[in-house]
Amino acid sequence: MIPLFAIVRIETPGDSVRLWLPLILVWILLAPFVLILLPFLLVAAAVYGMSPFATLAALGGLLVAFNDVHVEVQSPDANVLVKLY
Amino acid sequence: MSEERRRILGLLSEGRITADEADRLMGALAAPTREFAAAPQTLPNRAKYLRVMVDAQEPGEGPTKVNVRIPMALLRAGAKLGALIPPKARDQVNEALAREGIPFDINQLKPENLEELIEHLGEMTVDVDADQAKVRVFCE
Repeated sequence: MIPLFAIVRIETPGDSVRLWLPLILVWILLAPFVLILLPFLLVAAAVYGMSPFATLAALGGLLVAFNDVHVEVQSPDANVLVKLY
Repeated sequence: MSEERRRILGLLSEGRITADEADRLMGALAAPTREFAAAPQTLPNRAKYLRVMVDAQEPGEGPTKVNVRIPMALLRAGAKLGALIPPKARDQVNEALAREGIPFDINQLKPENLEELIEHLGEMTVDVDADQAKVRVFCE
C-alpha cells in the first residue's frame, strides 16, 4: 500500500515544527495531474525504447515501497524526523 | 479422501493387508505432508529493512546521530526501475563511469542478480568504530 500518512518533525533550538500529513489527501490532489501527465509519460517511454507498462509498474512499485521509511537526524543545530507510513 | 487412502482401505477390507500394515501405509502417506507443512517454519526470515545508524562526535560540536530505516522493498523497486534504463542511456552511464575510473558495467545490473544481492544483504552487517564516529549498517 502507498504511504497514507507522513510525520515531519523539525526541531531547532529556537523553533519547532511538527507536522502530521495525511498523504492520502496529497495523492487525491495529485491524481488529476497524474492523469494529465500519463499520456506524455507513455509516449516518452515508447520513444526511449522502454516498456510503458513496465515503467508504470516500476514507478507504482517505487511509490508503494516508500511505506515505512524512517529518517531521523539529531544534531546540535536541529533534530529532523521524516516518517512515512 | 485421497485415491491412495481409498486403495489402502480397499486392500484392508479385502483382507490382503493387516490393520497394522494399513496403519503404516497411512502414516507413510501423511509424512511428506507433515514435512512440507513444517518447512516454512525452518526457513530464515527475510530482512525487511536496511538500517543505517551513525553516531558521530565532531570536535567542537555536539553529538550527531543519524537513524535511517529503508524498507528492502524500496531497494527492490529501485532496482526494477534501474533495469528499465534504455540501452543508449546505459552506454552513456558506462562511459561516464569509465571516465571517472570506475570499471563498472551497468548492463550487468539485472533484476534477478539484484534480487539475489538484496537477499544476501540480509546477512550483512557493517560496523565501523572510529574515534569520532560509529557507523552501523545492518538488516533487520
